[in-house]
Amino acid sequence: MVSKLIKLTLLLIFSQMFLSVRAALADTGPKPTMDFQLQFESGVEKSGIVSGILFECNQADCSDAAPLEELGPQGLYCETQSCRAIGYGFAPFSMLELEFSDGVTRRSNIFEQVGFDSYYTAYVRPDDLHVEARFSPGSLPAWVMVLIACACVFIAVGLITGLVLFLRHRSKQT
Amino acid sequence: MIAPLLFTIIVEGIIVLGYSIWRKKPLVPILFATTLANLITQSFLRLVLNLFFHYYLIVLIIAEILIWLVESFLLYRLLANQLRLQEAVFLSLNMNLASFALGLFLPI
Repeated sequence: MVSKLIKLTLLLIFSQMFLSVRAALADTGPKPTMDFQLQFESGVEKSGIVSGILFECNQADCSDAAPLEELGPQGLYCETQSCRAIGYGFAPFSMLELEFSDGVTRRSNIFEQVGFDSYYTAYVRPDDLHVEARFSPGSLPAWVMVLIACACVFIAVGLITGLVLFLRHRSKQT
Repeated sequence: MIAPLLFTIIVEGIIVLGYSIWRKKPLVPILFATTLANLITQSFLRLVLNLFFHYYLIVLIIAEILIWLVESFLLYRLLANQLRLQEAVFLSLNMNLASFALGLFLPI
C-alpha cells in the first residue's frame, strides 16, 4: 500500500511540474498578482521607476480611486523596469501611477483585472502610460479553463487507473 | 504554483511530524498520504481561484473548508487502520489551519 502511495505521489509531483510552466516564469502564489513590464515608446528617453502607486476602483470611470493599501505582503513592488502587485484580492478596475527618474510622473488608463495572475505591458509615452493586458493562461475564459481542467482530470484519472492496473498485474505475475 | 505547494507540504509535514510523535503514529505513511492529498487539493484550489478570481477571499475560505473535509476523508481512507475518522479530521484541521494562517502573511 505504501509503495503504491509513493508511486502515485511521484506521478502527481511530475504532472504538477509539467502543468505549471508559469512557475518558471514567475513565482506566483495563492494570492492574486498583477505584473507590469515597461516598454518605452519611440522618442521617450529610457528612465527608471522611482516609485509607484496602484489605484483601485470599483467604478468603471475610477471616480472612487484609492491607492492599494499596504497590508502584510499586499502592495506594489517596483524595480527599475517592472512592477508587481500582490493583494488579498483586487478591485475590478485599476490605474497605475509611476514616478520616473526623468522627473515625470505618469498615470495610466483604467484597466481591468484579467485573471488570478494578470500580466500587463505598460507602454511609456511622453506624458502618460498605456496599460494593456498580455496573454496568459489565467486570462482565458472560464469555460475554456473548465474544459482544460476536465481534460487534465480525465488524463490524470486515466494515468492513475493505468498505473494501478499495471501494478496489480505485475504483483499477480510475481 | 510550486512555491505555495512546497510551502504547504513543508508546513503540514511539520504538523504531521509533531502529531506522529505525540500520538505514536507511523510517520512515513501519513506524510505520503498528506503529500498526495495536498497535490490533489492544491490543484483544485488553484483552479477555483483562477476561475473566480474576482471573489478571492470568499472563494479561498470556502475552498479551504472543502479542502479540510476532503483531506480528512483522504487521510482516513488512504491510512485505513492507522487513523480513525476523528483523528484524521483533527489532524487535517490543524494542518490546514497552520498552512492557511502562515500563508496569509507570506508574499507567495
